[in-house]
Amino acid sequence: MKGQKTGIGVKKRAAGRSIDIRLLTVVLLFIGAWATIGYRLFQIQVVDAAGYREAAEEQRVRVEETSAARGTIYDREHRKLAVSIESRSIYANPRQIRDPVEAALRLGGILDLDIDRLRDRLDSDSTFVFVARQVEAEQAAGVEELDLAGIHFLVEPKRVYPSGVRAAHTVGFVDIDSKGIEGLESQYDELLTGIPGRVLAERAPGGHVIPHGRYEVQPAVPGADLLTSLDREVQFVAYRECLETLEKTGAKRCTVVVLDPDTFEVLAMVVAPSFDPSDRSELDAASGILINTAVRSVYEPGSTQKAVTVSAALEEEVVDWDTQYLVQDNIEVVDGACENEEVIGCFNDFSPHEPQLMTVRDCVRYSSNVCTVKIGQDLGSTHLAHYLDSFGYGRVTGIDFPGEAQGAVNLPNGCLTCPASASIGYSLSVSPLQMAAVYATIANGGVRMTPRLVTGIVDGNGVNRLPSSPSERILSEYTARRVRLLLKTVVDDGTGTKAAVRGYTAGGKTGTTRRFDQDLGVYTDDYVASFVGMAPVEDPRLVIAVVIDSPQGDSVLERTGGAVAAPLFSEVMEASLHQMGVRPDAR
Amino acid sequence: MAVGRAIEGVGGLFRDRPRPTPDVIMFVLTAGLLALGTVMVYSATHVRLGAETGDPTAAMRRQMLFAGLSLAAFIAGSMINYRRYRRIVFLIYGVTVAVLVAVLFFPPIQGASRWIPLWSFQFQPSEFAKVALVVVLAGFLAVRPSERLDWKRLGYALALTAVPGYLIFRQPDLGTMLVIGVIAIGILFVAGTGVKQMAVLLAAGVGGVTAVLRLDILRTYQVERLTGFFDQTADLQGANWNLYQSQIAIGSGQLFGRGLFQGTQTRLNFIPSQTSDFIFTAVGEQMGFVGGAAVIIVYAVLIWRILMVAAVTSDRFGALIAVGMASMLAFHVFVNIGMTIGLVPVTGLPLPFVSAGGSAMIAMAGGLGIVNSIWRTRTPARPGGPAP
Repeated sequence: MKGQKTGIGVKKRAAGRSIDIRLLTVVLLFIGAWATIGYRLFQIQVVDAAGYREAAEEQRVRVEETSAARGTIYDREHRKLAVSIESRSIYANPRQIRDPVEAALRLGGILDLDIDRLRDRLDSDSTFVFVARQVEAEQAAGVEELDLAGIHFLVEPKRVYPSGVRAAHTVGFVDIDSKGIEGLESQYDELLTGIPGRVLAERAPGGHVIPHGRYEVQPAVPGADLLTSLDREVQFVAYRECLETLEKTGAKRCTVVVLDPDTFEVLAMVVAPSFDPSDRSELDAASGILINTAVRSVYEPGSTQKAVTVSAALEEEVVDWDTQYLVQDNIEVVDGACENEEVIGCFNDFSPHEPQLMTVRDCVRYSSNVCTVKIGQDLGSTHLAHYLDSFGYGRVTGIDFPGEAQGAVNLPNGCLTCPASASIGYSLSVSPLQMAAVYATIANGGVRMTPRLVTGIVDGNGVNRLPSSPSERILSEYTARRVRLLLKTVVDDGTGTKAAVRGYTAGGKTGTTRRFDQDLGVYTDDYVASFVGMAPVEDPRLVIAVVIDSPQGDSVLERTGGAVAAPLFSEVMEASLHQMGVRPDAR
Repeated sequence: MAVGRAIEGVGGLFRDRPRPTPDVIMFVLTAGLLALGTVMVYSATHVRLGAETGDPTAAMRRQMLFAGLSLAAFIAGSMINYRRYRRIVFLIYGVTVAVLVAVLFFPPIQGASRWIPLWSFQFQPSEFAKVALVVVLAGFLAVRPSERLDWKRLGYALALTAVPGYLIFRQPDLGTMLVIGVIAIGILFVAGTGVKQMAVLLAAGVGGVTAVLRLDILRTYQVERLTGFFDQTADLQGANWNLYQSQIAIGSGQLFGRGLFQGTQTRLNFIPSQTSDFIFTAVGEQMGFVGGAAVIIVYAVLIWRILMVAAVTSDRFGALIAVGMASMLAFHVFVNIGMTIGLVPVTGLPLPFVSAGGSAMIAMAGGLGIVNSIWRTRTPARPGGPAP
């Protein structure tokens, strides 16, 4: 410093020097402080600057997702089965809440929530917790009136199901964030969801968008609507009849599939008991109530299978329908099995009878196991296996529904009893949908297609009708028609008279099997009663498969397919044909 | 008659005016900082004010008015011969203490009784008290020609400091209280305090700060600011919000800054108290490291000029005044800029001449005026040169 040399008075040299030394100390301190500031400033503004600028950017530019409206699911008449509406959710910023206990008490009262758990959430150290989502309008209004600090509202889409419990298993449902997790909602989730939009905006601390700041909008693409083949009225009738049957028979479960044989479109798919798809909070998912048994679970088809055996035999010209068999009331596949009263290797008819001559027609009409085993033996196991495969046994149908069961065919080489079992519907398993598809093939003149639920998609480009599936001929028209006429005799005066439909000709086949417990691996004392049929016989418009799980009753006769499932078939078929305006073809 | 002498002293203030050789550098730098402050205040307020009141220049016009008054105070301080204050140091001290007592009886604003409303302004006595204490302590300690101060005089000096210090602490205004302490230490040190005495002083200072922290005298926010300083990554949404936002703003200025009026963080009020305590964030963001460093250098030059006055004057009273002013100014700058970049805990001290706030600007400009007066009346006792 210049002053050090020039500022010293002569007289006060000593004192002046002291002041100068001390001043120098002050100057050094000062230089140190300034160097520190300069260094730190350099560090922030040059060395670490990029990170800070990024943090600044992050603070200002906020990207918000705008949810795309979820598509609506319609039935074939454009009636809504699933639709999204706007609802309000309530959330809290716990940092803004002064008294969590009081807030929890007041909110809990209106929203019917557990006070202790709510208080814990309101007392947490975060800035966002949901209080209740998608609440009723009155509840939201009530909370709004409380005018509590730190409680805010949010508009969220809520999925509602106008068809409710009656189509729950088929339409499916979404989770609280409107993500499809079951049924069609899951199968077509991506299409239904659409593409969420993005709003990128510079915002001031209060959240206000900054004028002239960056602002980019990527509009949401709304989800597509689904046009399904379901007919709400048919669905409702089938559900109603199922409930009635459950009540009458004490059965565990009722499954109904209604197919249009011309297109293999599903008009109805019903499982009872059902659930409310928009409120599953009280459900025990482990109970299996959510499972769509029409698609996902399999059973042994029993006598309904005989239509396949006979179709194959007719098509292969092994028999004609008036070919005669001498039929006893049991038949041995393994030598001596019946004499020794063994279960395996001996097949019995449902009730004992004298040996009699039966035509193929009678075999079907009276559902004779012994006769059908004989037809199957004449057909041969190779042919039987071929036709089972053609009809789709052991394979998924390919319906547009998640988690389809494929069933199983058990025909290993060298198994003597297996072909015989298979010809009468044991030793193999199918889903109700698969069985409906088998009968729809017969109803459709022997041509098989892939069953489907969604026929069209409506998006921003308009209506996109999905092409029908490729078809495959399994039987000749001639054989198919003859089988239909055989099935008609079952309804006219065979085991399925209760399936008769007023005003229409109908054909079908009963089935009654012992219920096989998959978990235990044994046959139980319960039965699976089924009926699969079609109407009108000459030009079938509908195929209906009915499967009743574990009907209860005093005698076996009250628990057969003819007793339990056939009447349901009759009711649903009649109502549905009326609903579709099909002209009656019988007196 | 002390009172008579005092009246005569006040009357004599404007006689014996200094010779007109002002320190031009000091004046220009002060004026430059005042101009910078005006621009910075505008940049930080025009968006919000424009949106809220439709008058984007309101805060800037106020700042310009204070800047003008500050320049006036500087000139006035330069015109008055500083030696005249020496006669009335106790009058100055008495008035200062009286006003500091008086301010405690005014209604608190945001929990602090720091201001006395004057028309549409808020007069802040503690800002003037700092300058006054510099003069008082310099006058009290310059009377002894010997190098060493005895313990008695040191005790009196500490007592003289403690009274306004305590009154300011009562407001409460921790930052200004610290400034008072720093002024005292600076003047005492240069005035010739012995090593032992200095050690006692420092020990007392450290003990006092510890006691303040331990005895629950501080308010929660004050403690949080301090603890937040020692763990700067904790609680970014809460106590450390200011510091975090301040560093983001300064850091995002990078080397050359975003440009004037381009500072997004500055315009958008991300930083609390930005026009007062955190005005340096506006400088840092808009002018970058280059601008920030330039401002720091300006202060360095200013302080160097003041210390130069202390070095060249042969008058101990003048030298001690200059040292006190330099200490005050340096501490303000270091603490203010230091807190915005995380060097020191958040303390509410204005950045001299730049931060909004009229009292501080005017008082400090007046203080610099006094230093300039010392410069103009210096006795250039060059060896061999003619003594005046």
